[in-house]
Amino acid sequence: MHTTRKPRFQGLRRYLAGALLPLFLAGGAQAQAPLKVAFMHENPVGQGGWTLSHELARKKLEEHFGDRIETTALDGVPPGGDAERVLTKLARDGNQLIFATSFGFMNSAVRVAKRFPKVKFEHASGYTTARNLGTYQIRAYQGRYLAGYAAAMVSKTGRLGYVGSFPIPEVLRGINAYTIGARAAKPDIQVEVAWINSWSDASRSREAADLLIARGADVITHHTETAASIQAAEKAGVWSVGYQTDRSAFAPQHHLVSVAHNWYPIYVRKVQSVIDGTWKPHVDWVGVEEDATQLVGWGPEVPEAVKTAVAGQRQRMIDGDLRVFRGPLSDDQGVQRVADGEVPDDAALISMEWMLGGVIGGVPN
Amino acid sequence: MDADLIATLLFSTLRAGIPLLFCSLGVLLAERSGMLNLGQEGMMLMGAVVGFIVASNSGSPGLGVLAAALTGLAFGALFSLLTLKLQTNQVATGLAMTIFGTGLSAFVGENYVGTSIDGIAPLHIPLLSNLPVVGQALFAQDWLLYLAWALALGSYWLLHRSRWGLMISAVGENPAVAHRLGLPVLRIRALMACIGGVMAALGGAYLSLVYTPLWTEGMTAGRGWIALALVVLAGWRTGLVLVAAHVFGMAGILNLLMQGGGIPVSANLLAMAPYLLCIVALVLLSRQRDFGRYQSPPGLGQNFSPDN
Repeated sequence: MHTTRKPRFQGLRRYLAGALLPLFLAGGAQAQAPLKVAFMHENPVGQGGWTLSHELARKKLEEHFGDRIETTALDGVPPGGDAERVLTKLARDGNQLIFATSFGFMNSAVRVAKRFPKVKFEHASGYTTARNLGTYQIRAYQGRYLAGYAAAMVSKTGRLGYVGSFPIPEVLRGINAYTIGARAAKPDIQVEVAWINSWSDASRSREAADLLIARGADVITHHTETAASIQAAEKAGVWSVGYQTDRSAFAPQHHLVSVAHNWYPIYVRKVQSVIDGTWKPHVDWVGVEEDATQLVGWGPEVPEAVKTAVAGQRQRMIDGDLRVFRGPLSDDQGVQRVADGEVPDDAALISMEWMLGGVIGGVPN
Repeated sequence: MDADLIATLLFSTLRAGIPLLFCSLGVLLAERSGMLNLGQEGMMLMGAVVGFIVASNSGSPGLGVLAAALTGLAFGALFSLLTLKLQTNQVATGLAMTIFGTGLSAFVGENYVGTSIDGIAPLHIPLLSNLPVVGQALFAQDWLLYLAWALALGSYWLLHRSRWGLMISAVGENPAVAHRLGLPVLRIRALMACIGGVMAALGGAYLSLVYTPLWTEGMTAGRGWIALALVVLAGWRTGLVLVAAHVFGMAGILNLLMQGGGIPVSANLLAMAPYLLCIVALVLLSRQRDFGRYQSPPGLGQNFSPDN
């Protein structure tokens, strides 16, 4: 009689029931396990910048959703084989929504997404989607345009310095937008770029900023994880424009403004859609209309007129009557890239591999 | 190029070489006694993070430098304990210290990312610092830079002019013979490894307290490894270590300068230049007739136990 026989795993079952009971009680009416959300970053959070901006958004997510979600974040994951291994592990560990936050993770995300059709993947700053892989990005170039506009307004030497990392589309788009914004405020403004071939080398970043200042730049901005160039500007007594997060702490006196990434609106939307069961693999590119690219940390010495003018430009962007990239635009080789009056589509923006004519410094090959 | 730009370039070129100078002097001193410590990168990072944390909390960069030096001392002592007392392999121990130091510095520095300190202010030596072109570069730097130069001088005297230098070289060349001559081999080696640790940590502290007064993970960006290579390049000679450290510091800045000057040279090629220079110099040196002068200390990396 099998009813009298003691089931072999009764002990284990009882243990499991005991372990799960508090979860059901805590869940109350919903009685649902929390949604497991994972983040995978390329650079360490400890280098500031890009990864930190995602981390700030993750913390706000946790506050917002409370025990309805459970998040994991892994940083310092190099693209390639390691990324694929870590993504696989995150999927195996029962995460239902996984954000891969670096451009270099794209191919790994595509491959792993195929193997785990029930898990939702989201990849930042790429251009590929699949049945369970979405992509998302911030229109940081809008913030760049506004900062360039402000920079040109405060510059006395008519020269702006830009510390660049690698000449990839994301960085080139930023330089171009910054220059277009600056020229909108002051047509004869000069922008000079110094490339340091690194995201995080603080020393090289500082050296580049010092050199740009020595050559006459009186506003310095950067596209690096480190804020060393902001410090260099502060030391030299010139303006600085921070990037990715609010960098005003590095230049308490002479900071102009920081262009910060605000991932929170995107993340809230994505997580909510998974909870509601309405998630779809979108190409999500959001900008000023959702405050995803923000101008924050205005310095104490910034004239009110500058802030007002920039706010006006921003409103025009939101209303849709100001587009950052509008033809005619030619690259540094003199080739026309956008015809007169045309506005490039998002695909053209994502793959922007050219630098605007007139920018000093050139694209390294 | 105008005089102002040249003055600025000279100023930053000299500073750029200082972290390398500190670290490679430490490598030199330790290696002369036969201690090969590949943990430079880890010790630099630990010096950088501890220096920054202490300076940030106490408001005194001087205390930061002191704390960094003590951290380096602790790491040097740990290396000595492992390789001299416990007879572990020097190469493996050094590599482990790099990995350990990199991880630990990231861990303890976690809350200090995104914070800023004033750093060590430059001194202004009256009159001299107002000289055109060279005034700012030579006479308006921070005291840590002058300390590095003083330590270079001190190392030169110690290694090439003093009786102590002979003892250190004897230990580095043949520890067994030195032992039979009655030299305290282990004590000398431990001392030199500790000095090496202090110097590496000071190099790191120069980055986080002077050069870029902030902390980011892995901010030494491979300088510990370059310092190890510089000592080989300089043939274990103090004067050449000083020159090599500054040449490497200059290379990075020249790279930026040439880019901006519109000179059509690939940035990657420029970035490689110091390393190519290294290889060329090594080939030239090894062809020299007096090759012996440029050889590594024969006992380098070899463990010695007086009991055997």
